[in-house]
Parts: sequence; structure tokens; C-alpha cells
Amino acid sequence: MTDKNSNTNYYSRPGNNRDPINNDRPDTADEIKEQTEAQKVKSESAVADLDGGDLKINPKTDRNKLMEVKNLHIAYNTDRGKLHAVNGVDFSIYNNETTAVIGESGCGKTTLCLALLKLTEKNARYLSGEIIYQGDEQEKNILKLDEGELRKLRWSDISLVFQASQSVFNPVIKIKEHFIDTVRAHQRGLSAKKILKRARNLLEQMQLDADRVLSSYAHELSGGMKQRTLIALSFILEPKIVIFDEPTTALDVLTQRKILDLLKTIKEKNDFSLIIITHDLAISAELADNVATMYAGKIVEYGPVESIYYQPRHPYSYGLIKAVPKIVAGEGEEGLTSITGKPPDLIEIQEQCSFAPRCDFASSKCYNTIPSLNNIAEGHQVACFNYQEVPSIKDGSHVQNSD
Amino acid sequence: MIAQYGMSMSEARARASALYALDLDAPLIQQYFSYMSRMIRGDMGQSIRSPGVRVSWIILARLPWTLFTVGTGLILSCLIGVFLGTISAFRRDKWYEPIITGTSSIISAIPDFLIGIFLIIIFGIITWFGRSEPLIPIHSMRGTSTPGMSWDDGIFYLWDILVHGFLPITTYALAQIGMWVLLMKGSTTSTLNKDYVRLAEARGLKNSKIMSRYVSRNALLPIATEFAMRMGFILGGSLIIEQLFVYEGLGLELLNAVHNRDYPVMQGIFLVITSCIVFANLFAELLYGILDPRTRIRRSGSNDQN
Repeated sequence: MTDKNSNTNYYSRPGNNRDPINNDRPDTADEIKEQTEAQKVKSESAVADLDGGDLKINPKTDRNKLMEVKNLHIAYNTDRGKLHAVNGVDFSIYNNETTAVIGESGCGKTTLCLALLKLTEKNARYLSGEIIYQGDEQEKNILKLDEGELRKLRWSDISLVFQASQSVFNPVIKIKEHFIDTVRAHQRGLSAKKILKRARNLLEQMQLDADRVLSSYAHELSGGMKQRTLIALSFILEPKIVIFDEPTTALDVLTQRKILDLLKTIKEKNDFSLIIITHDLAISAELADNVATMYAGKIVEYGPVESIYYQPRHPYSYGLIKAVPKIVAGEGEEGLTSITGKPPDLIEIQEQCSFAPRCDFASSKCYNTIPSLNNIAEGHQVACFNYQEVPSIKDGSHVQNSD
Repeated sequence: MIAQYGMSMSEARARASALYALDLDAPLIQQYFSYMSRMIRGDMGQSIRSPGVRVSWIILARLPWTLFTVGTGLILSCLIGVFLGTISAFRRDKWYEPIITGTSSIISAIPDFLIGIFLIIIFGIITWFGRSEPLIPIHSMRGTSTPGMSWDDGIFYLWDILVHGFLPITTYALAQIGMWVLLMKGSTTSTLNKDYVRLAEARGLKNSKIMSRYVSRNALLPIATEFAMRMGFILGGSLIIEQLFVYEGLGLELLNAVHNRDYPVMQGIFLVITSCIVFANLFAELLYGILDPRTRIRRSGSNDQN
């Protein structure tokens, strides 16, 4: 993460906001593989390309940093002691890119995302670190904002689609009141008619019967409709960053499919950065530009989605990908592999790689030193000493099953 | 009656039939229907103790006083209780929160007649700060108003009513206030943890808006039901307190009727109390339907779009 800035500067091309590769994303595994190879070659000879790099090959042309999390530590005060839910996280959100945060339950994903809005529970303590947000004006540290400034920032700059989208609407007021309340909290004096016009437009983009949804109470909508309504609500103030906390967890596969498609379309039409927290690798493979793997309150690997899914460098990312079940197992293929053991206790932090006890590649060094996140390729960072031993994923079907 | 007044069987029988205007020789079912038909017309018979006085007159004369004192007490305790309960839920980290909650628990555990006795001692017996008389001249506080005064005295009469009703109202209010505080605190605390409150926070809504529209609005649902149900017990709960303050309401009348075995009066008052509870329950149901849209029946069929 440390030399990310310099990379960004090398390739910055003002005025080119959309990256060309993204618009025609490769469809087959082979294509992606080729590309990753190309990228690797590219990054190795980065200096040589300074003067005349081909834009078509290099996808990361203009990465404007929108948000930067620096060395963030968050702990919860519990009866047993301090629970370190987020334990030294560094990462950045870039303009118009989608970042997926993956990892198993309880690894700090949700805490991290709540912290981006300073919405964590009352017993959470921000031990150290900063979250720098580059809005329209001066950059500001979200953790240092007072209540009033935070209130203004929330939803108008960063909106958050909650994990429990089934109970996020006030049961005693109509859906349209939620839209009106939200807009009026940020733009005073706007007429209800104008607000509802905007809401209607968004709801129709989500393929909902806008008028009926607006005049309904939450309990009159189905689960998928509520989820899509919440997504529409999250765009009402045209935020720069939208965070989706497990957007499709509680839904059946067909509804998931529909919501993913809608998200893709809305992402193509609008400029915003998306953060998706998920443990569904298929979703992140489909939507994300970058993937951050979290383990025990730390980001252990961060990189472009193609590299991580075909050449993961952290044993944990590798394990996660190998643990995705296939609907039809081919002959001679290896079966489903799980990661043995369980995540460490976040209350007692030890001087070792937190994944070492579960790791197949662990060496003695892993048990007495905490690995830091290091650049191993252009935009690809990993916190592992033995990353070169991690094999690549041969079969692409792991991440293709949702296509 | 035979045992009480030493009447002969035939005398008692004659008297009873005169009072109830019943034909005691008629079959039971017929007696029942004639009683019911008179009841529907508002004729509840006459008092045994004071012959010639209609039960319905007695009830109509006493009912307003009980409604006034118990009703005022209920409304006051509910308003103050809801206010304090909301505060103690929102300000759980403040020093006064344990005081509010603790006091409420203690008060809600004291029976209402004890509170009444304490109030009499505090206001009517102890002479505070070297004054020669207690705060309220308790001996002239019997009854609902000073004898001889009426609506002709205008504002003075109103004041007189308030002074006479002060101690019973305070007793009713104090006896229930703890319950309201605890109920509202619990309800608000659980609402505060709801996902829609957190999302409202994430949406950047103002705190005052979140409190009124998202928290209190939902937290008040169980309170409203409880209030409507309590209204039913307004009349029944006044027995001991009215006896304590010699306040001439329905409760005192019922107690006297029980002492004197004045069956028609007892029957009439019980009927009023019972119907009061039944209607309060009905009202609670209807009220909930208005306040909580989830309990409403959908008028237009809505089809899922999934």
C-alpha cells in the first residue's frame, strides 16, 4: 500500500475517467488469464512504459483516490476484554471502481465498513488510524468530524445498504416518507413532488412499480422488493461511495441474480465507487474491480479481481476460492476443500501471522513475526512471507458459476 | 334480608318483588328476560337501602366524579411516565437515569392505598416548617366538593372540585407512574436497537427527527394499547382509594352497597364496570389498527413482483 501513490501518478491520465477494459470485461477464463499475464508483464516493465504506454492494455489509467484508510484499529469493549475487530487496516477506494471485501464471518468486514461512516456500535473504540475522505472540498478525516459534519456526510457522500435490509424501513410510515425524510435532511426546502420524482426514477431503474412501492408500508413489500427499494434509496442523494453490506445474503438465487444485474446496469450508467462486503465469491467476481481479502481484522491480500481469483498470493484467499462448491463436479477433479481450524480469538493478539495455525504453507518465521502488506505486483499486495508457494487456481469454474 | 332485618319470609318476598318489580312466581327464564328488557331501557331497579331511589340515578350521580379523578390520574401518570421513560432510555449514560429507573421500580411496587395513606400523612397531618396547620385541611376535604357549593359559584366551584380531588388524583397518578416509566423505557430501548433506527442514522437524519418519527412513534405502540386497556379498569380500581379519602364516587358507592347488601346497586355498578372493560378492550383493538399499519387488512390486493 505504501507505494501506491507513486504508481497512481505514473499512470494518471487526466480526463479519462472510465477505464476501457472495464467496459468490455473478458468473458472466458482464458481471456482473463491472458490479460493477467499481460498485466504482470506490464507492471514489471512499468518504468520503461512511462512515455508511451498503451491505454488498452493497462486498465488502471486514472485512479483518483477517493478515500484512504490508514492503519485503522478498532476494538470493541467486551466483558472478556478488548476485541480487536479491525486490526491495522490500510486500503484505498478509487473513483468509479468497485472493491469487494471478502472473508469469513466475524473477520471485521462489517465493522470496517460501518467505520467508514463512523456508525459503529457504542462500545467500539477507535484506537488509532485515520479515514481520509477526498470530497469536493478539502480532504477530511472522517474519524475527527463532529456530529453535525458526520450527519451531512452520511448518505449524501457515502451511503450504506445494510445487511439486514428486511427490517430497515420504519414499519409505521410509508416508503415515500423515507425518501422525503432522507432528502430533506440534506437539502432543506425541496418540495415533496421533486423528491418523489427522483425516487420514482430510481425505483423504475430497479424495475419496481414505483407508485405502488412509494405508497406502501414496508411490510407490504417482498424481501427482494425491499432490497431493491433500499438500493434505490441509497442512490437518492447521488453519493460518491455506496457500501453494500452483503447485499444478497437473505435472498433466493433468482432474486440475487436480478439484483446483481440491476446493480451492473446502474453501475454502468452512474459514476460512483462501490464497496461490496460479501462472502459470496461469485458476486465479487462478477462486480468487483478490486478484491480485498480480510482475515482476523486485517487485509491480507488486495489486488485486481482477475489476479486474485486466478493467482491468489495469500494462502487464505486460495483457501476461500478452493472452498467454493461447484454445482457439477467434473471427473478427476479435486473435491471441495475447506480451510481447517477456526479463526483466531480477536481478544488475544499474538506476535505471529494470524493465519499461520491454519496455513499449509506456514514456516517458522510465520510464528514469530507479523507479516505486513507488501506490493508484489502492480496494484497487488499481500501479507504473506511464502506467497510464492501459493499455487494458482487452474480451473476457472470456481468463480464462473454465477455467469 | 331475612337474616339482616329480621323480616318474615313473606314480607321479604313482597319487598323484593316491589323493588325489582319482578314476578317471583314466574319461571326463571321469564324473570331473566323481563330483567333484561328493563335493563335495555335503562331501568336498573331501585335501591334497597333507600327505597324509591333508582339505581341509574345513583350511578349517574357518582360516575362523573370517579371518571374525573381516576381519568385525570391515568392521563397525568401516563404523560409524565412516558416523558420520563423516554428520557431515561435516550440518556442511559447520564447520572439521573438510575435515579429515574430506581424510583420508578420502588414506586410501582407500593400498593396504591399505602401511597394514599402516605399522602394524607404528608399533606394532612404533619405541620411543616413551623406552620400551625398542615398543608391541606384534611377534615374539610371529605366528599367531592364543599357542601352547599354548586356550578352557580362558577370558578370557585371548579377550584373547590380540584382541591377536593387533588389527593385522590395524586394517589392514582403516583400509583401508576412507575409502571409507565418502566414500560416506556423498555419499549424505547428495544426500539433504539432496531435496524430502521440505525439506517435512519446512516441516512444522516437529524437526531430530533429520528427520536420523534422513528423511535418514539414505534415505542408508543404498546403504550397506547396499555393505556386503552387501563381505561377499562378506571372504575374498578377506585374502591379503596375513594374509601380512604371519603370521596363520593362509584367505588365508595359500591363499597357501601356491599356493606348494606344493596343488591340492585351492586348489580348496576358491576354492569357499568364490566361494560367499561369490554369497551376499553374493543377501543384498544381499534386504536392499534389505526396506529400500526401492519395490523390493517390490505384493501387492494398487491401482487409480489419477485
